[in-house]
Amino acid sequence: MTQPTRIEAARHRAAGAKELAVALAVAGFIAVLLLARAAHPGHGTSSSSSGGSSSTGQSQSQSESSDDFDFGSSSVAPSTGGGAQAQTSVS
Amino acid sequence: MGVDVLVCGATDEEHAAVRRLFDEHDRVFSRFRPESELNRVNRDPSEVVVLSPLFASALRSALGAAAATDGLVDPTLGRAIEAAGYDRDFALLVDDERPPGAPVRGRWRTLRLSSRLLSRPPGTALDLNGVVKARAVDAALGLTAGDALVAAGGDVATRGGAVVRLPGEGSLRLLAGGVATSGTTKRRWRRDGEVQHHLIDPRTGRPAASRWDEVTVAAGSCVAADVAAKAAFLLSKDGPDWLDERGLPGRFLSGGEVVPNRAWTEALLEHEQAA
Repeated sequence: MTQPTRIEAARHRAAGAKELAVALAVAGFIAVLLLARAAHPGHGTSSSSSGGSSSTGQSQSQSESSDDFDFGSSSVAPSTGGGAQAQTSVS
Repeated sequence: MGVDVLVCGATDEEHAAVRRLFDEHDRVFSRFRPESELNRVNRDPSEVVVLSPLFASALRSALGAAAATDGLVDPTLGRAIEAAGYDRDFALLVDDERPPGAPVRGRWRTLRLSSRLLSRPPGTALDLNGVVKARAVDAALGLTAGDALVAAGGDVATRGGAVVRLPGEGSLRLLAGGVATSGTTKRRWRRDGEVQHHLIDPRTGRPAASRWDEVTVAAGSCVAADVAAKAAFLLSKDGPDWLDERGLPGRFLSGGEVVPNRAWTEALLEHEQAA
């Protein structure tokens, strides 16, 4: 079995380095793509892991659609004396 | 909006601002102005429409009311109210021998509102009058700086206290918040000999059948009181308990009989004992 020449060994190392560079470029591209998608407010699959607000587009719409509606509490008392007056009635 | 507006305790500038506010609400939300935003949105065949800030805010409030009442106060009943025959200004409405149109049930859950973008299924007709008048009363009170009272079409809000006369007889002192009354003793007409009215039950798409003639509720704001009064009316016999579960005082009127819920009785009793 013959040993590879120095030129063949150099070619082999160059080919390996080229494959590594391509793999790193592809991995970098995919990483940037995923980060961009995750950061986009309209993206429908990302979600917050903090347990706070959800970042999914669908959930955002639904939460806006059903805003909290607060009945609150009034303060009423038996009618006494004068002051401003109004009538509540069916209109 | 077709109602008298009473404002007490406001300056001239505040009065003018309140007038502009109600005029704007009428221009935007009227069902009887062809050029109103409500009618433009309802006519628009697009699935997605861009709303004005005021319209989007009111719709957001209406959707919140729908969620809080499990859909009893529903903003998608525009077709249902027209099917019942209320398709023009009430002053122009006359009894009609034609039968009512097909019922249209509420479908508020199909609406998607994101900021000012609304998407809805084709054929959906909004009617925001379930919240718009009371919201306008709250907003008008917000335009005043001192103690004031605003009342429009039976919806009342105050800062600093006011005497509110009640349906039937009696009155109470509203110290803070709002009071509103819903019912069917007005705005009634006939279709094919059958009495119709404007309070549509979204579960049937027809004018509601309730044991109550009128329901009066006090809450933290006028719009909250109005929404709660409508829901309690639609819930019929379950209305008093529904209000009690939310700590809301309610007064129910049926054939001249007055039925207060527990929260109403306790609220008034509490103040009497404190005095």
